[in-house]
Amino acid sequence: MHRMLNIHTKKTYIDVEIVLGLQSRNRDIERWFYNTSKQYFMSHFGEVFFDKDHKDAIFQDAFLCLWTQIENGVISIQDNMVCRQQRNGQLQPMTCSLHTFLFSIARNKYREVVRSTREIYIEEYFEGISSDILYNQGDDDDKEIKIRIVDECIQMMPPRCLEILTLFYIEGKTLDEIMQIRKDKNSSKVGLKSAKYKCMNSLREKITEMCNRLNLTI
Amino acid sequence: MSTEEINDNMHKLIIDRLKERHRKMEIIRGYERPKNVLRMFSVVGLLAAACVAGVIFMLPVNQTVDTVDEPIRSSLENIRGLVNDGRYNEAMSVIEKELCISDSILKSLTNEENKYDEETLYEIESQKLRIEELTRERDALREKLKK
Repeated sequence: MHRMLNIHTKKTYIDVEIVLGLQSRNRDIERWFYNTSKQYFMSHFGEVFFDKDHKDAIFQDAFLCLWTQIENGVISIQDNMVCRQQRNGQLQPMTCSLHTFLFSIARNKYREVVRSTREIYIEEYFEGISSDILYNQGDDDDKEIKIRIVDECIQMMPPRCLEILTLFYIEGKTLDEIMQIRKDKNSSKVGLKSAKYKCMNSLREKITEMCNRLNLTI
Repeated sequence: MSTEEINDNMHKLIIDRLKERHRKMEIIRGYERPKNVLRMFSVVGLLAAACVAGVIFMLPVNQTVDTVDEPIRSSLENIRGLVNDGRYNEAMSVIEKELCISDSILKSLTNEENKYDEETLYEIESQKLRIEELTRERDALREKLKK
């Protein structure tokens, strides 16, 4: 068990409570876990990154990834222990705390950021990222597995693809608005439209590939 | 199921999960906002205090221009400052020194059994990341020096 101290409220949560709290969308535990993780991350990794925005983005992305894994049940509680699903579908007790696991995710995210700043084709980007998708052969229904696959593939997307697709499909921005928001990152509206198409297409292909491996159809 | 229906289902699932991710990001941004406001006020407060202190200390006359050479900056965050100033050779020697230090620390932390307590694990991860970032900066600097 790993207990983390909150110096402000003096309330502590062990990892089991955090996992259960996040799964039940307890806002107090969500906020507490975010703040303590951030404090810990900055105290241990604060001196590593040159750029503050870079550091914040990596932390937030890593936190989001961990949070999604907990909500999706990839990390869950069994016999009052925090367990993580392995590739063979088996739940194994985690050998490190949630914090340590978060930092290993952050290290991978850092590498993704470095890769995405270089000129690289989207397809190569996906191939270069090692997949951590867990293939469950247990009792989870197909819908849960598909959700995990899609979440994982979204997490693996290059940051610029994530930005474009979110702005367009979720925030409902037009291509002109996206061009303004992204400033000089896209050379033209046609280029942006093409990037949006390629991003979505690559994502679909990756998801299809993963589903085909498990004989799943969406 | 037709190809069109499959594509449609996939599209819906993708949008749904993008929305969920966006929802979480908004929550996270919400946690950051109060800290940013507090940070802003504390920075403003510090600046105001510094100005007042500066005025108090400057009141006595006979100010002379300080010509002491700037000390060699050795902390990680100053390397970029050296590069921006065009002091490439200095930046390179600082990077090499920092890499050496991090490498030594990492070697002293690791053991053959590969078993570590939490604190040591964090420190190892931290040093590995530091080395990666320094190596990246060194490679970029080498490119600059070639030109």
